[in-house]
Amino acid sequence: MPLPASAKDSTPPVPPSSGGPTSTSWVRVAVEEDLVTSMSVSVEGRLVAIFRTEEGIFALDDICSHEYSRLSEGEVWAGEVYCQKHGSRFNLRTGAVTGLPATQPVHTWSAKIEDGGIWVAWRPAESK
Amino acid sequence: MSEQSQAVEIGEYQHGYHFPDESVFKTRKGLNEDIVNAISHRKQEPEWMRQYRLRALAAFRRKAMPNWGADLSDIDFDALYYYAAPQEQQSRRWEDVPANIKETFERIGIPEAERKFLAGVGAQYDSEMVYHSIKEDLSRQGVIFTDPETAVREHPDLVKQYFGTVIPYLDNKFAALNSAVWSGGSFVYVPKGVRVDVPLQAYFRINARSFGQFERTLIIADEGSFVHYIEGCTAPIYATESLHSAVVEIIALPGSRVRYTTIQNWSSDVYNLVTKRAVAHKDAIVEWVDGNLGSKRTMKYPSIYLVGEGAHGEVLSIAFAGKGQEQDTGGKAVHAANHTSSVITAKSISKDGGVASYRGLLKVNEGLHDVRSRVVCDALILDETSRSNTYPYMEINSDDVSIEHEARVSRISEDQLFYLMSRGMSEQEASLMIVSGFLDPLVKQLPMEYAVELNRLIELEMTGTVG
Amino acid sequence: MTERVEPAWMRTLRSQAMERFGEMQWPTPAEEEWRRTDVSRLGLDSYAAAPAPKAACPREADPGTASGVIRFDGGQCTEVALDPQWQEKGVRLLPLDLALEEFEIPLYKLFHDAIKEADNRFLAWHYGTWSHGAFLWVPPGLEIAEPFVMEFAERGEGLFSAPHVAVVLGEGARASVVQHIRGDETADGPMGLLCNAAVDMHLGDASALRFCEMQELGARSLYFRHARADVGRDGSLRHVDAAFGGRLTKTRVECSLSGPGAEAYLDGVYYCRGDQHMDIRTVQHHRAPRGTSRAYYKGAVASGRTVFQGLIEVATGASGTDAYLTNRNLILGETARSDSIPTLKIGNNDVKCSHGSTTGRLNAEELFYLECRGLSAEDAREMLVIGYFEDLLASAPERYRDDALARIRERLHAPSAA
Repeated sequence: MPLPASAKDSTPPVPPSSGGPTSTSWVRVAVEEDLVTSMSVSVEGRLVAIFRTEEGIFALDDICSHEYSRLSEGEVWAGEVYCQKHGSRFNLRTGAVTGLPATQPVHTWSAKIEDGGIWVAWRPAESK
Repeated sequence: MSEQSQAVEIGEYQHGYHFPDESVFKTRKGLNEDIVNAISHRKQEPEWMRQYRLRALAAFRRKAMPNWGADLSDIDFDALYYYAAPQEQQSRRWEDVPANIKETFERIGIPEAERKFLAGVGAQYDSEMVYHSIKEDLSRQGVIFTDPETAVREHPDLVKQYFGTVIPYLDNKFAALNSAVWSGGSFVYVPKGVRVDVPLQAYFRINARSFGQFERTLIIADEGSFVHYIEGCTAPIYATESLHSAVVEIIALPGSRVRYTTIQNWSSDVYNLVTKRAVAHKDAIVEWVDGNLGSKRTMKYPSIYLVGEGAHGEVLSIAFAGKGQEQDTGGKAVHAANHTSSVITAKSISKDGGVASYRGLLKVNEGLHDVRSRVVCDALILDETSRSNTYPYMEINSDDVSIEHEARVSRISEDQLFYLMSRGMSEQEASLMIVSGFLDPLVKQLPMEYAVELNRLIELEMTGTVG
Repeated sequence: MTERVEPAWMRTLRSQAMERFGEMQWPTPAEEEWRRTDVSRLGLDSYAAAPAPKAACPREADPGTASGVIRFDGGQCTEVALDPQWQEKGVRLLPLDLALEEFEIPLYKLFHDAIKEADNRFLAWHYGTWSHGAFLWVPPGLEIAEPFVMEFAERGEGLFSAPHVAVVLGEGARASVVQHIRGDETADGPMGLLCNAAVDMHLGDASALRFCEMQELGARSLYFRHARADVGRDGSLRHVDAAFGGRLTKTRVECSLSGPGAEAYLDGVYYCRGDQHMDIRTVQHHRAPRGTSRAYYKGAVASGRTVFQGLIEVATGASGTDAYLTNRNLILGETARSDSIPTLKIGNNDVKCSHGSTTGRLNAEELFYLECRGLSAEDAREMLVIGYFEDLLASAPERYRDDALARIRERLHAPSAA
């Protein structure tokens, strides 16, 4: 089956709003203790990478936009994640590409820690 | 220097960076953190570069060998030396240089003074006169043309901004290796709007590190600038070590143009595994001209990432695979912006059992407009035992595109041969003429002295007078 | 496996095939041929075997204008018809299980070689589990103009079926086959049917076979098909392939030109829409001198993804080879993705080998011209797309050509899968 397509744009994370089919809602995706520096979670069939750095918690598409590879397995340096497979770099906050060989950004979501859990501001239209 | 004293040297280094001065420095065989630290220290590098090398070493160990391409099964990483100071490389005597290499120099017409240098004999090739005046012109224009070690020390901001952004150390195993132990190469920065009219040639810079195993080259062409960089030479380079793994990164900022010409003729025991990649920004042009004649195994695919609108990229590749050789070469164009175009032209000749393979990628991202690309591969197989393969990959994810690819494999046409022979040429002369004609469109792109030398070299290969 | 009344040699071959099946894993994207088609999330192991067909008791029917007809529905042979004049001359068109006794020798060789050379799990699986199939034998010297028609209606949500076709032509024979695999467009549930098909063709010296296939499975089905052909001295194969259905199509046509002077023309059309994924491979393998081969595949991609992988391989002894491979992809929609990988592996210098590939969309000027002549945008588009495919289908049997063009027209007007 075709692999999930990565997003064409890198919209900044949208804060949650109420009501409507395209509204955002916070979804609890993991237990906070399970997160050391990075982990991968599945939200409605889509793989999301969660990172913890000094600057906070970040959620990005787990699939590198270059070739099929998990960003959650990558190294994090200075606010960027380096994909393990070929070294593509992405800004953790915006998902923008900052280093080749990737040429397309990855999707991002707002993330927070609350009540011992990790929450992601999920937009329903983004499943699959 | 004996093994023992080398070990002592390293040992002293470990315990607090005490280091004897200016004696011949040569690391042990094989590769580990100590050696990487020693290399970094020797070059007086800042801490961030040393850390970079160490991370690259870790990546080198983790990464697998490629499961495609030329046969690399004979490489023994533990048996290689990963650094040798320039003086070490001049320990050969002229008498020891193989006869066929001397003969080639003679036949191609390499000036006497250069021959010893190229053969790794004798101290210096004194081109200081020529080089000196070029250097003055360049510095007047604000062009920086130096070795990467100097650049790390004197232009750290530029280096930090661009080094490793085009080819990250994680890119592939050999880029990781280079990133850990790189030594020598070139650093070029051309300021906005500056046209460098004289081609910059690496081998005019006297030091033998230009031909080192792990050159690292970084070229930054600022907006609207132009530079032509030439690497290598047609004469066979008698290498000390058998693994040559270079990395070349080019950043062509908006409106700039960079042409990078390589003629590689490493001796027949060398593994030449190179990662070359350019990023072309808005309206920029990058041209790779790549000639592969020597080495036992070459794997090299100059690439262009077209990330700005209106960018254009070209790869012109010649490969000659003779007895015992495998040339696995080609080019890659990745279209990541609208109104971009690329042309890849590859010509190869296989002879005496040689294997020439074209391997290329043409990729067009989603949602792009007005993308055009043309790839043409032509292969000549000169005899029954030689082989040619073509592996082009086209991944097209947009609809507003025009993509063409053609490849042809053939031998010298009987009709053409017959025609030329009926005009009085011997079969050998006729074959040579046809092969020269085959390569001509690419040879024409080379600076004249290279073209002349290359033509003579092809003549030698075709007439079989040099082994 | 339910018990069959099958000769021991076939039972042995099946178990050899299943042994190989057991030794292999499902292909992964780490293998070059499967790099762009990831089968790991298809739940292959959860497809159950379709119920075994009852012993064939087909209705004898009138072949009509065809030289012979054989039909299957859900694996069951429902109809066999053979023009009496060919029957008298020794032609045999039979359900495969009925052909096993009389044609043990050629069938044993075909199956045995296929199993030995099986390079992926689907092939081994097929030869171990084939459930029904058609067999055609044309004796030496017989030249038959009208095609033999083979129709397979495959069914079964969540089931797998493995239909087989075997064609053996004696020396100097000439024949033509049109094969159609259909699914049930409306009945496909989320898993669809998994159809793992194979076609084996053996062409005796100086024989000629034209084999046209068309696949129209349901929108959720999975189609895996390996077609193998062995062309002897001065033999001639013309294979035409048309892919329309299924959510995943992964096919391979592999032709071995093993006798001097052999010739093979592999043509194909494919139309991809909705979220279909089509991965098509052709192999022209020149093992003997003076072989000629052409592969000419044209696809249209409205959306979804197509992959074309073509290989021309010339062995050292195959001097005088003349081989050519072309792939054209017409992009009809913004989200379409199309990969083209034509490769050459050449080990002899006395050859003329080339390949070409183009990818692009409809020519804007041509569209404009037609619209100026009064055609609606939709009609202009249809005219150009049909024109694009027509030259390739021109030499196929009329019925086949008309069917293929009709499918293409339907899809032009209905961009997503039904």
